[in-house]
Amino acid sequence: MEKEVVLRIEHLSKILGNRKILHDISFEAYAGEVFGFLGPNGAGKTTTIKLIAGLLLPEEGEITVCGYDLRCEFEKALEGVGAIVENPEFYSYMSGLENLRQYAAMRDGVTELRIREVVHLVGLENRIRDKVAKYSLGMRQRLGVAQALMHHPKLLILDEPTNGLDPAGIKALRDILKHLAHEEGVAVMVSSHLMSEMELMCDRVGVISEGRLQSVQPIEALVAATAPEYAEFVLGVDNAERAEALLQTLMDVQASRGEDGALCVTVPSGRSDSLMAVVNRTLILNGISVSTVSKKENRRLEDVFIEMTHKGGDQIE
Amino acid sequence: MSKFLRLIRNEWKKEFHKKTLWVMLIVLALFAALFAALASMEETSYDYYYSFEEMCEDEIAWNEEMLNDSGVSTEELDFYRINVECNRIMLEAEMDWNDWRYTLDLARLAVEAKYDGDTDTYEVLCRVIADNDVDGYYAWQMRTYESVYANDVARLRIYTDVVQYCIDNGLVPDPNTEPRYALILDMTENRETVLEQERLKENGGAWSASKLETAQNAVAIAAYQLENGVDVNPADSFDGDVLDGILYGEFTIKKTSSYWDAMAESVSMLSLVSVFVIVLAGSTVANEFSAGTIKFLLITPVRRWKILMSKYATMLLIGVMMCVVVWVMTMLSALMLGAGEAFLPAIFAENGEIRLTSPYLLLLGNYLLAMLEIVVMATLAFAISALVRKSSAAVGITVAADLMGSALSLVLMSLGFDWGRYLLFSNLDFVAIANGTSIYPHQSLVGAIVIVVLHMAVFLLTAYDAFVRREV
Repeated sequence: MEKEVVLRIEHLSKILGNRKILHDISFEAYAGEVFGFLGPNGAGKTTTIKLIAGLLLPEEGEITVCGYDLRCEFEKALEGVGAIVENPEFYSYMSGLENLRQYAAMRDGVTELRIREVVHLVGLENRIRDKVAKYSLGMRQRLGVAQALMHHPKLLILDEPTNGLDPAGIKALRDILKHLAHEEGVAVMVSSHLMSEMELMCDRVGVISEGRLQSVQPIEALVAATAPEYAEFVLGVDNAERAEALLQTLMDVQASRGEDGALCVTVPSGRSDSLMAVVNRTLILNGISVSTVSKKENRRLEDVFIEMTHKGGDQIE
Repeated sequence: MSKFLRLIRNEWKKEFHKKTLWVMLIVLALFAALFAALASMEETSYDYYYSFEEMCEDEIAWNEEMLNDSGVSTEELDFYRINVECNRIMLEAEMDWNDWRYTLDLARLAVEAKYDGDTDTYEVLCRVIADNDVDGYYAWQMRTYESVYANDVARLRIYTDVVQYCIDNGLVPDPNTEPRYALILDMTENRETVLEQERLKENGGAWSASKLETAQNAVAIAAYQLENGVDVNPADSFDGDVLDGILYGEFTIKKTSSYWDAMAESVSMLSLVSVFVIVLAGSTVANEFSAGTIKFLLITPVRRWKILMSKYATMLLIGVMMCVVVWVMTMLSALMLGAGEAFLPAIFAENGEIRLTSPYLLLLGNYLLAMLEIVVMATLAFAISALVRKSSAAVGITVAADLMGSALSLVLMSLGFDWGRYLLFSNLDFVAIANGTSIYPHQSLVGAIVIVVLHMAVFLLTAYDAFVRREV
């Protein structure tokens, strides 16, 4: 199935001050999918988003939204974009509703009914008439989402949208984004520095680090890539020394003793089920009792992420 | 509704959600009302804290004391004696502050005549004072003019006309209480000028066409007023020196309308509007940046220059609204003090022909000229604000420029730097330039407009460039 390209970025470069923030970034975001933009702090996520939203001008490269070039047809291109960039800041002396009306007036075709609809969607109905000055960060985040959604954008860009949201809010937002992408065919682009979050809501992930796009792949592929070659198990046995010696004789099984007398067994992850059955049988047949077997998660998603982005935010460059 | 109008409505809403604007409007309304009440007040009465008798007694006591002082020259002795005597006469005649005999200072005239050896005058005037005899005064005046101007028939006509008119109409000769008498005095003065200039012209002297014309027109206006029984001419309130008259109690012959004095003076309230508009215009762009709201503003499908221009237009609209508030509040306040004058026409004369205009048009003209300066200052503040994104800097610089600008061009002028005439601040006072009373001589209105328009263009282009190309 041919995917509809909503956002196309080609060879994007950006210099701020005398630092090159972005090096030759190219990717596409499709209708009907949540695109994750993953990278450590200072990698260039927000800069990329600002370029797409027209807040910055690129040194090189082209940005096309819904087929309109951002530079030549700014108004048409931005009609299809809804975004939150950095923290959502509103006019604190106005109510949430009045703030939304401001942005509705700047766009065509946003009715009062639609405003009510998005307010309901983000769950702010009870507080929408309060002054924004009284809102928490989470509430402003919700108002920001409402602002970004009100005009039925083709492309929705959210810069670290879970900032300040409580777990229930994060879950609700995730559901909204998935619904928008999968049911309404919106291209959603979410930036984050949390891989676990990406895993839960994204269909495809682009990893950025030091201003360079490292990879763009489906989330399944990314998760699979993070799956380790070897699986490690920790066994609770009554005689670790003898068990170690016994297991050394088995093919493809490596055993070693841990500090607290536990036995560590490493097997190739592809055949871990059958090999562990052999391990278990060998120990029991030799009179060693096995009290516990647990799998050790030695390579988490975050480790892969850190590896992929080289430094993982050791030092902000 | 077009998108640009919606943008303006957005900006308008934002401003009205802030307390600042409401405070400004309330301050303006209160000040305008108060200012109008002050400007339209009648002259102060001294009665309140000092009675006429007390004044005379004090004068007598002080002058007698000086008489007893040694080392006083004979001339000074005469001066003190005259003072004592005339105050005695006034005390005896039981005059008051508002007495015509006091206004004309008849007692002094009489005593001085006596010291000059003119006992006739002394006696006549003493009788006039004692009997409070207006007709006797006019009779004396008539006789005096006839003897003084016996050889000058034309001039004599002027004065006998006046006295005859007063006698015919039974006017009390006091410009403070009898507006028609004030008109008569004014007209006499101008007829004298006309005569003088015409004679200079005939004899090949240095006559002035503008002086002659001004005087002729003034005579025509006064004649029209007398004929039609119009005591006051609202046009007089727009002459410019009314405020001095009000503030310093200077003697102005013509009676002005208190309603129109207040209305004409309300133009000076617009300098307050200027400061307020500078504050608002200097923060409208800067506040979006400092609050971070600029991001949501700019990621809408609206070109940046439209956003900028909607802000600019809103600032100008608010300026206009503030001027309307000043106008309306002044009018309400002045109406409560004297509604009768609100519908008088302003009387002008051109080549001796009477022309009636609505004084509201004059007022509108004055307001528009004052608003020009507001627009220039607002534009400057707006441009700086877009450039440096700090409202404090924008407001500070512009207010300083507003306050120091004209002083600067004055200093440059006095130091002999003629290029100072090309500065913006030397060209803002369109009224003065049109009247030829500007700081630098021979400034033309067209030149001033060109300079101001050029500056405005530079300001707006700066703001445009700073805002449209700025990375956020």
